[in-house]
Amino acid sequence: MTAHPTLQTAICLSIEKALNAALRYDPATALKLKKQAGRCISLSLTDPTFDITLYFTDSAIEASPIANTDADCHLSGKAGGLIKLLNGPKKSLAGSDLRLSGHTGFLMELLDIAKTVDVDWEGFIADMIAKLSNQTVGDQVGHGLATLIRKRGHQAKRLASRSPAFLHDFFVEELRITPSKIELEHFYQQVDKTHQATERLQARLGYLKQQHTKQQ
Amino acid sequence: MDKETITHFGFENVKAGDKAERVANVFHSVAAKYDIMNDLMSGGVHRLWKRYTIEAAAPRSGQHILDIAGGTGDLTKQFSQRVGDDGHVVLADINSSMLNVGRDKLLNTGLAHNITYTQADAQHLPFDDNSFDCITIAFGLRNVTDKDLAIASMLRVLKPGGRLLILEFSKPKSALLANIYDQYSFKLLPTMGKVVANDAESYRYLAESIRKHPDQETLKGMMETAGFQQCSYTNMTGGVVALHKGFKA
Ligand SMILES: C[S@@+](CC[C@H](N)C(=O)[O-])C[C@H]1O[C@@H](n2cnc3c(N)ncnc32)[C@H](O)[C@@H]1O
Repeated sequence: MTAHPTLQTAICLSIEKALNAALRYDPATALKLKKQAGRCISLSLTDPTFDITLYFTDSAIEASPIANTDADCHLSGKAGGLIKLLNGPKKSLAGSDLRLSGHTGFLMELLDIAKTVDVDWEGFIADMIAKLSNQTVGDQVGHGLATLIRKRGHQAKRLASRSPAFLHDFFVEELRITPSKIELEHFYQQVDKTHQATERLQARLGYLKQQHTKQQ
Repeated sequence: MDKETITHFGFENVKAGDKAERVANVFHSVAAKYDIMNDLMSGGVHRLWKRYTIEAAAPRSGQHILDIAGGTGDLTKQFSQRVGDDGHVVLADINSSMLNVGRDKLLNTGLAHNITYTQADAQHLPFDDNSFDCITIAFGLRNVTDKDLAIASMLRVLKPGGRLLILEFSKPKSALLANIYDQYSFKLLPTMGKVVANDAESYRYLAESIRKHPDQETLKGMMETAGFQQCSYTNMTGGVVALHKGFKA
C-alpha cells in the first residue's frame, strides 16, 4: 500500500519526466532501452517507504506509484541500498540489503544503462527522500528517516542546482502539495482575510448603491 | 428512487426528479471554465489524483474502458494513449456542454482514433452487459441522483474480472485538515468561482455536494451491496479525496 499516494504520484511523475528528458538527449541509451519495451521493474523501498514501477515502452518510460506484483523483476530493500547500487562501481547485490526476485539479467541490463546515463541518481533519490519527509499532515515521519534527511540534505541542494530548470520548477512548484502545519495555518489566515475583505467590499458596495439611489 | 422522493442538491433538499436538471445547469454553466477552475481550485493537485487513478486502473493495450461523467476528458486522454490502437475508450457524460468541451480538447491534442463520445446517464448506461474491462468515474458520482442505481448499472456493463474506480471527494482524516478544507471550500471556492467564472452559485453547489457525499466506508459498503468484490479505497491528500476500487466477479 502506498503511504502517501498524492506525493508519491508527484515523485513518480518527476522521475518519469527526468528520465524521459535525459533520454531525449541521449539517443544511444534510448536505443538500448527500446530493446526493453514491454518489460517492467517494480521497486519497493523502505526508509522511506516508496513503491515505484517503471514500465518501458517503445517511446518512453512510464513511472507508476503502484507496485506491480507481476513485474519482470522486483527489487526491495532500503532506499539507501539503492543509492549505493546506482552510484557504486559494483553491479552485485551481495553485501547490500536489497532483495531481488524475477529476472536478474533484466536488472543487470538496466543497471548497465543507469550507470551510463547522465542522471545524478544519488541527488535524485536524496531529494525524493527529502520530499517524502516533508509530509506533516496525514502521515507520520519516522525518526530514522529524519536522521537520514539531515545527512542527505546537502545532496538535495546539489540536485536543485544541477537539475534542468523544469525539474527544479517541478519540485518547487508542483511538489508543494502537502503543506506543512505552518503553511496550512498561513493559508487559513489568508482565506479568512480574503473572506473578510470580500464581505467588507460587499458591504461597501451595498452602502454606495444605497447612497447612489438616495441621491437620485 | 421515485421522482417525488426528496434528495440533496448541495445543502438544499429537492425532488429527485428535479436534481438532474439542477446539476445539468451547474455543468452547462461551468463547462467553458471547468479546466482552469480545476487547476486553480486544487492548486493543480487534481492532476496527481487523476494520474494515480490511471495507474490504479492499470490499463493495458487493447482494453475497453468507460470514463463515465468524464466531462472534459482528462482521464480519457491518458487512457486513449495507454490502450493503443487496438483498445477503445468511451467518454460519456450526461451533459452535452461538458462533452463538447472534452471532444474539442481531445481533437486538438490529436487523439481521436480510439475514442467515442456518448451522452449518457450513469444511472442507465446505454451499453451491453459485460462490455468494459475498466470503468472510471472521477468527481462525478456525487452529482448523480441515485448513486446505488449508478453503481449497479456500472457493475452490469463491466466484464467479469473488470474493475470500477471511483475518484471522489471524501472525508479528510484529520480535524485540522477538515477545518482548513471547510474554510477553503465554503469561503474561498465560491469567491474564486465568482472572480474567474463569474459563477459563485455553481461553485457553492460543488462545495456543498462534496459535504453531502458518502464518506469512505459508506461508499465502500455501497459498492459491496451492489455486488462488487475485493472493494478497497485509498485516501489521497489526507482523505480530501479517496479512490475506491472494486472488481466484478
Ligand atoms: C466535476 S465533473 C468531473 C469531470 C471529469 N471526470 C473530471 O474529473 O474532470 C462532473 C461531471 O459529472 C457529470 N454528471 C453529472 N451527473 C451525471 C450523470 N447522472 N450521469 C453522467 N454524468 C453525470 C457532469 O455533467 C460533469 O461533467
